[in-house]
Amino acid sequence: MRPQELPSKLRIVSLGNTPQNAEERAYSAIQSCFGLNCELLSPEPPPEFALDVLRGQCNSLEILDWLESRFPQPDQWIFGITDVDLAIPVLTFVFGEARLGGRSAVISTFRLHEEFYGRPADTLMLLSRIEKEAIHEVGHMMGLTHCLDRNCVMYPSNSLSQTDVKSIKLCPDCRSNLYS
Amino acid sequence: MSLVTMNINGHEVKAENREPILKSIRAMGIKVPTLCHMDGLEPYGVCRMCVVQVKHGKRTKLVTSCNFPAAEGLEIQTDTEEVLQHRRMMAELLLARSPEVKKVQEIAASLGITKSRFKVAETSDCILCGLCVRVCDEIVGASALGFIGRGKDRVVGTPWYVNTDSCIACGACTYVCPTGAMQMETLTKERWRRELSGKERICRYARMGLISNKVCPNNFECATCEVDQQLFDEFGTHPILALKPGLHQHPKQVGHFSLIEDRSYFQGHTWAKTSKEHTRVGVDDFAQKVIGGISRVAFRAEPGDVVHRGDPALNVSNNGHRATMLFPISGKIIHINPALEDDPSLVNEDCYDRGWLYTMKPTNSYEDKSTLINPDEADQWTQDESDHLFSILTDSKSAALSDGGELLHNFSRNLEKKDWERITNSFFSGGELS
Ligand code: SF4
Ligand code: SF4
Ligand code: FES
Ligand SMILES: [Zn+2]
Ligand SMILES: [Zn+2]
Repeated sequence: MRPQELPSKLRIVSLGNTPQNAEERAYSAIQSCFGLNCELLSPEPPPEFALDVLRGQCNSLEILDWLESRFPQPDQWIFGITDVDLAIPVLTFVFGEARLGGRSAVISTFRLHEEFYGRPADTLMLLSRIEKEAIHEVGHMMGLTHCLDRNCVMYPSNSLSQTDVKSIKLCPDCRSNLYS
Repeated sequence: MSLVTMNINGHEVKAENREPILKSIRAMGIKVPTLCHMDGLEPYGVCRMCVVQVKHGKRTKLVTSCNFPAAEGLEIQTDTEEVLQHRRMMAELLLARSPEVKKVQEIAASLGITKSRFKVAETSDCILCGLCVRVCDEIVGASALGFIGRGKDRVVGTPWYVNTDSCIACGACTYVCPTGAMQMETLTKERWRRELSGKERICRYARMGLISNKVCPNNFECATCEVDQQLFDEFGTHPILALKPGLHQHPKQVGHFSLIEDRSYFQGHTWAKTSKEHTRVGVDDFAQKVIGGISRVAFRAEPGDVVHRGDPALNVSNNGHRATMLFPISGKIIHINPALEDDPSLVNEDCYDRGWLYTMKPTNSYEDKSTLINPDEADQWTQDESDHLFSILTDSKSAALSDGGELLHNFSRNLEKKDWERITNSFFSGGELS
């Protein structure tokens, strides 16, 4: 499902305490991959409204709804970055979520940190994961679905190693689907 | 290829002319011990565990079934006293050579042997089955291993002795080794790789072309590496073995769902797998996971019925939700799976094997071939169905795609009726009213 129209702007907003430089890196990755005109907004508070108390995770779908109503301009897309753990009812967690061909997406840095897995912090690794997840979700907003090529950035990540294995680039098929 | 008729333990069977008779014997469900045989590799015929008795014309002899070609009129006996005696003798010899090896102990025990009368000067965990040599040669294409020496001094060679440049350190040899004698650690090549610096330390899967160039962050400790784990999970076996067509009979993973490449799939998430005798049908992993903990099944057809593709095959219920699964092919029902009536959860546990539904005699296999989703399209189809499923599951205003996590077990239990109906209509039984 392709978007009706490309946005005049893609706005990037952090929700809570995101890692240093996360927004900037997402900004330049998205801009260089898709050529979209991006803008950084001032931070919003953590998405407590979406907290599922039993699971201790925030519902990513509710965050998408919130982003769309908080930033309602129809010709602008909105991309959130948060440090809280995200999930949807049928999955144990999500790294990110995007409306397919729609105007909102969100990623979580919670499980992108090496520390989450009990390993020493690695900033370069963290930022490269943020870039991949950002491009992946914006790919969905651009209408791309998942790709079978494990090196393509549109390959689905069910676990972190899949994010690490895939590259930051769209494979030739996905690239041509973008503009077809 | 022409078909020949043979007789195995008194039953008439058809086989491709010249294909190894082991295949027909196993297809009948007869167990034959093998050590040096692996599907997809050229037969080697060296361990002699697979011997059977063959009568052609007037002559009767013992042959190794893994490499003996099928021919018109062969009469095969798989467990005469002579056959068993021969296998016991081979097991005793093996046990003398490799007393510590679990696989050898198991095979010997299955023949009633726990001790060997023979003595050897030096025992070894390597049973000279040649699997490592053949896998490296025929599948990896590296030809980095070879036998050195002759007779009882024969050992598998090269990486231990020569630091050859042809080894790509893929680990296929250690994976196929039935005894554990072949260890990555013993490959000097692998040690040498650890001495490489920085950007030269490329992950073994990048060297195999499976992932884009990636420097190994894990000191080549593949056994404890997530990348290794991920690729094994995805392919269901050593990735390099999965890449050879015909070898791949383990379920592989496409996103949240598994698939086996030895069968064809129907749009309604049922599968059909054809063997010489019949076609077996069942439900796929996608259906099994989406339906969740199956508490009851009702067969919609009986042995003898003639059914059409798309007819209702099975009603399933999962405490509250119901769905109807459809026949993937047209044909006559031969058997239903009796085990399912006692234990419907077999469909969840093992949908591709023990949880099968029916065996059938297809009406028109040619037509089935052209209408079903064949194995090489099944990956893409499963990925698309998965995206479609998530777009329904997340549809508050418009579809979303989610990345990450595992599907919660039995997630559909909590779905509202209208969402459940949308799912059964979209994926399982579009037109059928249940
Ligand atoms: S690790 Fe080396 S010797 Fe073993 S199969 Fe691979 S290429 Fe051949
Ligand atoms: S340890 Fe992991 S990254 Fe390194 S070579 Fe093995 S599989 Fe590749
Ligand atoms: S399996 Fe036939 S000789 Fe080894
Ligand atoms: Zn792609
Ligand atoms: Zn995705």
